[in-house]
Amino acid sequence: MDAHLHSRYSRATSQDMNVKNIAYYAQIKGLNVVGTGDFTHPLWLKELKENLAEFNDSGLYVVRNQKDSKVFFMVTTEVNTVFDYEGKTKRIHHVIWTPSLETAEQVNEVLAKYGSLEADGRPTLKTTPPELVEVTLEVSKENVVFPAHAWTPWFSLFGAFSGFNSLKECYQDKSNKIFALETGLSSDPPMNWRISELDKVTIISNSDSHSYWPWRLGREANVLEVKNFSYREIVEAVRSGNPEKILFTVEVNPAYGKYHWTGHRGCGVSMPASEAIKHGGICPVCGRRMTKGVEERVEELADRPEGYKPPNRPGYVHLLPLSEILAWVFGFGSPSNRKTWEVYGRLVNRFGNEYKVLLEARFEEIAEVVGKEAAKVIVDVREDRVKVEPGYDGVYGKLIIDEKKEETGKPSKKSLSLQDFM
Amino acid sequence: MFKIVIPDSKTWKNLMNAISTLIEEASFDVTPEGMKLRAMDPSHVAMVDFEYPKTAFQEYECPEPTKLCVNIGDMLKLLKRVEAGESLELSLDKAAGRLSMKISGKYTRRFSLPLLQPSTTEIPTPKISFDARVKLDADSLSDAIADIATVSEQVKFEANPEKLTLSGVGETGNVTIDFEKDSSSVIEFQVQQESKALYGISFLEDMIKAGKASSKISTIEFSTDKPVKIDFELPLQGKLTYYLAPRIE
Repeated sequence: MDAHLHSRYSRATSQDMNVKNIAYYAQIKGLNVVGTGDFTHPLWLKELKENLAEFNDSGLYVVRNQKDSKVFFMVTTEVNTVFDYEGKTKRIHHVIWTPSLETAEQVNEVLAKYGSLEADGRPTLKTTPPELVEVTLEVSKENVVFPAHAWTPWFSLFGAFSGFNSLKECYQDKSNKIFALETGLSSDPPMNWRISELDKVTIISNSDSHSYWPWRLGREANVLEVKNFSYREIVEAVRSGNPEKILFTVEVNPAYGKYHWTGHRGCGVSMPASEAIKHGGICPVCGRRMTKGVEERVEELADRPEGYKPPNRPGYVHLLPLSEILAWVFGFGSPSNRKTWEVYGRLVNRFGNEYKVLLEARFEEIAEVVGKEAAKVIVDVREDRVKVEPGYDGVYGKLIIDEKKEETGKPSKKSLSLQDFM
Repeated sequence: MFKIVIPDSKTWKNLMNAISTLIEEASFDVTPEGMKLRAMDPSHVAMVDFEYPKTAFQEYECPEPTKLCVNIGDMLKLLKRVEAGESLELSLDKAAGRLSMKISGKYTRRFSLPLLQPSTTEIPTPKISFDARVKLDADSLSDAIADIATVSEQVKFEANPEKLTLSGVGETGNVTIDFEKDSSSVIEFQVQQESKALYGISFLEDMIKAGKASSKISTIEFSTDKPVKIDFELPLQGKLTYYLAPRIE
């Protein structure tokens, strides 16, 4: 399940991001449930009503006239709340789930009081997080609100630049209504487990995708065990946090995210939290302040050591989109390259969908289709044996497939501190 | 009563400029023997170690040790207004919490700066021994660094018993500069062991540019993958020394 993405009415989103394309590529990816995204946008909501049909009163929808579709839509949106807090302007993003297109309409009526819903698929609302929770849950107790991509430096609950230091501080007296938290590409469950306050919420993962391509859609997702596909059952699985119901999350290795390490893009400088603290957060090349990475932000807020795992929590697996792995392994340059698509298509045809290749297919079987080198990398990614050069300050992390190859390339350099010699 | 007089305010301006390459707030230790300052840049990659004995001043009155902290950028803004040959008098107005600056030339000008809370942290210098020590003309060193800066963001220092080599590699080209031990730019040359280390060029450029304004002679000391120490000789036992941490490949 990938229950946070965007429609063509969101900024920087493909114009072809429509219901049919989302359903088509979700099936290739192996997703059973996807968010509609952007239900707050009137034109998108109209499109949803025209093109979706509710599946057996389940609170989930399928593409109209495709009753056999294996892809169910859950009605979702993301909103940006803008408000002043202790003299500073905060911008925090939240995901909202709602049990039907009708309740979506009712939520929109309420949220329209706080800002223009037509302006963007992800509307900006002049309200506080607790008020957002209150008014949304007043419409229906089945509505769900939770913080989106909780650690990205901008626009998030714990963001280094305008975030809060706790869930309670952000959602105030409504924090008890928050039972889920989205990791975003910047973090994974082990990073969140270090914050004891988050024991009471279920750590979930969604792609926040602005495109239907399978290297974006479902790059982060949740694997649930439900008897029947229904909104209520999904929400209850998430609410319970029971590892028998929400089995694991699919995570991109957070080192791959654009803001994992602290660094300064202009100078090509990046470093882990421990080193950044030693440098006082200042770029050792130019002397300007570095952009604080998520790892350092977690270190600031953590009240538990690295590696701590609370009992009875759903697990996780680090994956990378198959097309990206193939593009790297074969040197095709990009996941959208025709040659990448050709190899991708062969694997998906053989195994049914992308997740089956990434999570289940045996090495020998993959090797039969694409050779041993690619098969090894796919299995290494699944088993978390690949190294990633961490992203920083807007620069994506890089998969290090062949370390020897890397070593002969441009050498990486580390700036020492004078304190290392005192 | 603290009061010092510098006969040519440009000298003081150059020294303050040299300190300002690394720090914004300068916390001077002022004693009856002279003035000292040791500080690291905020990223702790570079250090400046400055000493100016009382004999280097035209007048020097400091009956008791004190700390004097000012925003050095603000002081430099005022010093921009001075002209060659004007003398500078610094005195402390403790009651007002300000440092007074009196500039005397064709006429007399007075400025004052607020005093800041001084740092109380004692900073040691890096504990390292150096295998290579080369004293050379500061202008030549500055030119060499400027040449390398045209192609690279870092400089490799390599020394063997015959020469000191500074080099840089960039996408647009490579630059190599050799200072042979008997070249006219080299004043003293001691290399006990072959050494090489890599340093960020932006700090080096700033340090050397600022240092050469106060001194014609610079001394480089370094060892493999250890900080470099660059010393600029000042008159009357004055000292302007920089340390810069290496980058490791």
